[in-house]
Amino acid sequence: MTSIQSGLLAQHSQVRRHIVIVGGGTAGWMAANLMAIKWAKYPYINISLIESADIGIIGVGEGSTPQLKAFFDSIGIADKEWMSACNASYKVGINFENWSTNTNEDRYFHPFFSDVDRYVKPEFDNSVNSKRSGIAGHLTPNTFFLGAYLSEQAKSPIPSDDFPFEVHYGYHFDSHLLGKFLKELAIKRGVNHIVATVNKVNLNARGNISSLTLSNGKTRKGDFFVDSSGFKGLLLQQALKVPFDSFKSNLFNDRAIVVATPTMKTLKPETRSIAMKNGWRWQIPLPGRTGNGYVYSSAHCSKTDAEKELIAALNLKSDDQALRQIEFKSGQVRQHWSHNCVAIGLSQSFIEPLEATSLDIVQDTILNFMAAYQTGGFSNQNRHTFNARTSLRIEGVRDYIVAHYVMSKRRDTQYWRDNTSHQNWSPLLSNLYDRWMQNLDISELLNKHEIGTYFPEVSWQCLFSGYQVFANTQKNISNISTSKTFEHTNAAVRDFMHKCSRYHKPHHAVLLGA
Amino acid sequence: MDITKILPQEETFVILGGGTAGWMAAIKLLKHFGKNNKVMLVESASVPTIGAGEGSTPQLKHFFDNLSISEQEWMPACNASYKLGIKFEGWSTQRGVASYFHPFPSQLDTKYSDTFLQHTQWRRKGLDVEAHPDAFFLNNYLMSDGLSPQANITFPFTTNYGYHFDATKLAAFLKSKAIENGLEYINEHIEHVEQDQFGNVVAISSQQRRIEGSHFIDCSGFKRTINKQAFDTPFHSYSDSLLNDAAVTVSTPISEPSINYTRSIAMDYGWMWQIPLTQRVGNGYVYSKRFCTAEQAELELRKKLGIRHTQVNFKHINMKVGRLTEHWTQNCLTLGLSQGFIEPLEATALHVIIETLDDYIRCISEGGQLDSNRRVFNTKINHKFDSIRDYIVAHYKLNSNTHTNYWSTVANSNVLSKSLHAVLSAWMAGERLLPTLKEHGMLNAYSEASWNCLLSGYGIFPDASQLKPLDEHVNEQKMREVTTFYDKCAAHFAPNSSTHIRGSKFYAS
Repeated sequence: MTSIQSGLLAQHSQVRRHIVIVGGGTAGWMAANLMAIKWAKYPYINISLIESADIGIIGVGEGSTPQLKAFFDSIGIADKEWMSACNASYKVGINFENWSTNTNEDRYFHPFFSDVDRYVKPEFDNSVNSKRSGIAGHLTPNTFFLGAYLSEQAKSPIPSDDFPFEVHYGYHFDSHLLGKFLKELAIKRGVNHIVATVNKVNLNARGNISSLTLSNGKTRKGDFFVDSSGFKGLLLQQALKVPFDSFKSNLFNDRAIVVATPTMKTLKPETRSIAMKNGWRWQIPLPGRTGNGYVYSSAHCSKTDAEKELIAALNLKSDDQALRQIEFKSGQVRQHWSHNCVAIGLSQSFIEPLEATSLDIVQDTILNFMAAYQTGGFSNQNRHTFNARTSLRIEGVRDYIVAHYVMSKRRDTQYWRDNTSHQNWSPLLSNLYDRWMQNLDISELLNKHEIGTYFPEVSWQCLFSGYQVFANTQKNISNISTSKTFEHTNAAVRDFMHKCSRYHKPHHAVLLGA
Repeated sequence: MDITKILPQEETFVILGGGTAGWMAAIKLLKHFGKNNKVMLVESASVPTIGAGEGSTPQLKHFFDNLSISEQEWMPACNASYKLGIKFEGWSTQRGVASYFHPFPSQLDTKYSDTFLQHTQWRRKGLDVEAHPDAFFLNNYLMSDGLSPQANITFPFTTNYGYHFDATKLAAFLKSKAIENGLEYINEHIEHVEQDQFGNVVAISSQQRRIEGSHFIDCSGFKRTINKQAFDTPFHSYSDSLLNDAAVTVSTPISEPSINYTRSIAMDYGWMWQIPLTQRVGNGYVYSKRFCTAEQAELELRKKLGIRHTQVNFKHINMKVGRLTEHWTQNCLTLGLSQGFIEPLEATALHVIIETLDDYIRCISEGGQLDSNRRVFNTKINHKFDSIRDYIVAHYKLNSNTHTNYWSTVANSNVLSKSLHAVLSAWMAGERLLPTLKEHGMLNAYSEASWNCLLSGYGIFPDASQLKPLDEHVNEQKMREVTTFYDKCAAHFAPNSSTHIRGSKFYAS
């Protein structure tokens, strides 16, 4: 322990602190677990979570990034302890289909990056840069990332014991079961669980939240409040009046229809993301069922039409399926931490799950908040920096999602024509795109905007090359020696990746513990 | 550069000297210019070659790969074995560094190279973390486990390696290859060099024969026949900073099990190499005549090898360390021992020959013999020599032996180049070395990792008693992770004894 921490501990050890978390969805229980573990060394901190027995959770987030693995690592839970309990499977990336040209070849893989990918990164960079400078040749990101090979072959990211490299992976899971697992764990680890509905949020003269009046008649006081009450935004938005800034000018989707279908025969460790007439649909393979959802824009398509399209795409019988409709609004609160309250999860921001980033943002927000709060001696001292940074990151994620739409060459419906013709690009996205097309460096720009945290240069390279967004595509310089170089590189990289993938067992077998 | 360059008209390359440098030049020039030009090599059968260089860096592998000559073909012909690196023994008396290994790098090393650099930096700042280089490089694990540098074909990773070889046999092998490829071979003892009014060499001649050419490559060894007569280029000596000027060599029978690295063992007045070939072990003691006589050196070597009373042939060699100030003058390139010499502590001789040749061929292909080309070329080669010199000098400067006056003299020497001084200062200041190495253009010879190997290999750290514990748990856990990784990697490499050469029945080429 560093001397700064011991100093703080000494300084505040006399003052008891009550942290009150409102909302028992995934975000709330994640926060409870992280605080319970990381603040266990401060016995004067008391953590409570209040959840309503009447209010359900949204629970459609079924995919994660490798951040979720980091989360479980940090709270000391191994895959085998939670995965089967949560009907979870492995995920090594997302397969994007029909997003660019809506043709048969229109697909690319956005992988989580593996240790071994770095060995062919120079080749990927070379190929990408050749294409950017107008040289002809076949390039797909799938060639250069182990995840794409594992997914193709339905293999697990867990290598055999004799393979010295790790694959970074995320998960698919049943979010209700995950919530339940995290709840039980947090309670076991000392989080005070209160089942009640919050009827009233009481503010003091300085505008801070002083207590909550609960449906059981009791009043819960607290020093600090975590708002994980979902879209309602009970504390931060409603009580503290923090405005919500919408992203609807460039993210049109505001509805989703979700439906479960039977387990797939082959469990590929990938989320499929398939562009539709008025949005896109996900397909998430869990061991016990397959999760599906169509995310669409209500301004472009009626509920009935969306249902029809999804039913057709999934080959369902229209009558006997339990289709669930969800409404949402994309955007973020103007301050994530205001007064003595921080918002996490849906009450803080929502961006459609195209890159499965919601739990990332939750974790990131909690951890950054905890670090800032702790460094400031459990005061509001670092609030401003925290807010600026959180907003910047969320905008970065937003920009990456927006890019999926604006880069498309689809013009087949009004939805796609609207998505590809508006001018509502953030300055960062415009700048990034211009630099890309002019064959200039983009990494510095990405780092400056904190976006590199979630989507570093390589993610943008995948997206742009996955969509075949290159300058000079009309006048591609074609000559035999460069296209040979492309072929040669691709062949060598494929050979390398195939060899690496042989050290991975089938996904099925690993999930069954075989 | 696999496309044969067509020079304006047919030109003749004349190589003088049939040592390793001469034959390497012959075979390279044939490959690049041989289709439309003439390549000749002139040697005097009566002049023996030095032929003591028996170790290489991975550059020799690239050399053969570029010529598409397989290991199966050349290695048996030259009694060659694999070399994973060099083990330095007895150079330091610091605790825990009785020896260290300077490995050739593997792509697998990149996984923990930052950890290594971080640890050496922490250690310099007084934290008690593992900073011995041996823990961080694959080749060291292969060496310790008696493994070869050839991985099982299902394992998609490789490592770099060099070779040990019989230099005389290597020259003979290259000679037969060159002749096969159309070399014109002339056995003449050259005495005279002829120049035109501009100073270009036009011909060299023996008493019997005059040989004309458009380009001359002087590989005549320490004698430097063409360069001396035509240009007498000044020699930049390194003798102020490198005191060794003689060597005594001897072969001994091979020992079992065979090893695949060079040993460099500190002696009383210098160091001794031990190089395991397939049919014999090459040994040599490099020493300074200022501190010991040839007889003393031979006796010390005899004792060390346990052959005090055995009848064997010792060969005594004089060495002149330094380099020419210019390697390419007018139409004449000086190559090999004639261009410069640094003691073989890091086995760099062939490396420099190959790089000099590659650069020369590139210049000729791209722009002919322009003055500006030559200036850039000469500056680059000089710089290369100086950077290698710095790395060699560092070995002596950092040794902590005190048992003879020789060792304390070299350790106390203050004849350090500016660049070496800067590197050592950066190390002492606890800085990362990369910025300094970049600033002084030293990455042309040794990487940041190599410098860290050397400096931590000699234990150039605060005294162990002054170290603060970091978090023992963190260090141990990290080191367990590192060694587990390398052990897993190493398990995919073939035993050294099962095959010496890629292409055996176990390991397809």
